[in-house]
Amino acid sequence: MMGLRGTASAAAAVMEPEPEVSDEALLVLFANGDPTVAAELTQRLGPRVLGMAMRVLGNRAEAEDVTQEAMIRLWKVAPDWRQGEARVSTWLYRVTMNLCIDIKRRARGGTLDLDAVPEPPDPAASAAETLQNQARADALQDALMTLPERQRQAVVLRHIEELTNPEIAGIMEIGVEAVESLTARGKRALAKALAGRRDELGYHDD
Amino acid sequence: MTDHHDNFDDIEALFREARDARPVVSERLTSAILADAAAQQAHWQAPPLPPQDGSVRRGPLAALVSALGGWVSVGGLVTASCTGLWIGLWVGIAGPEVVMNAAGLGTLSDASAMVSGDDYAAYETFDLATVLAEDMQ
Repeated sequence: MMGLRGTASAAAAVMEPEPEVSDEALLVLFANGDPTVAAELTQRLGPRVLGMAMRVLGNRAEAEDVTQEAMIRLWKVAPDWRQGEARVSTWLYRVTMNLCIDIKRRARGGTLDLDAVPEPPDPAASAAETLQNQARADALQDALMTLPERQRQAVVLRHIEELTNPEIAGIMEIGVEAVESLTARGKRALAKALAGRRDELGYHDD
Repeated sequence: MTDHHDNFDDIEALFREARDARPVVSERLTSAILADAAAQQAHWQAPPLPPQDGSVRRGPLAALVSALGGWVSVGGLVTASCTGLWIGLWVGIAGPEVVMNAAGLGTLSDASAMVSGDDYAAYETFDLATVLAEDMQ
């Protein structure tokens, strides 16, 4: 069942058409004073920023603060944006990651908020499945929070945000080989952390 | 080895679910972000143009400068005035003969000496007061 759902969603992601107007073009319009494009940019980029911040920080309130601050920085950079040099989303991921690192530095040993990863309601899923999905999401977040910070950042960017290794290298300001090493070690550590929870997470049903 | 692969398959499944479950940005946060955007755009707006109904009041100095043709003209006027004052003071202190003996002015006096008697007679008959009186009529 899970495999089917996963395959379907992956196919949908692949088939998702590129937006007609690029993020960059919208940012230029914003800088030119167009009052209508901020909503579109927020709709496109807000969930990605919030999602990454929640995964890295493990705390929704902090992630929301980071999201608002990252978007403020996007608005401010708009007039000075150099077209064609970087993708807006990559730039924003980088700003977000740095804000997350700052928060972690200020408060070492961030706590995991159990409400941090809300599962959107799935009308097709039964109550039991919903609970199990929630348990899986929490289990993933629990496991992510056991990783060293750099491994967690690299794993989130690679496997949840689906960025390329060069993009991640640019965001984390490290080499591509270092990214590969961090994601490989992070994935192994996740597998170890999740070992023994297969029955709990319902994988025996598959 | 099989367990290892199973674990990695489980993780891939968890990643897929996590990708599908992107968080929804709350209305409160969206409103805050859009308010920030609007404030930033307002910050860039040029200052409002002055009213075009002629109600702009200028100070007396600005009015005087404007009447004289602007600051460039006033600058030239000040320079010319200072030069005239300096020459006047110099002549007053040193006497008029110093002016005629000044370097370069000797040639001027020589040139005037070369004016013929006929030219001078014609000049003498030119009465500026008469010409002005005719213009007034």
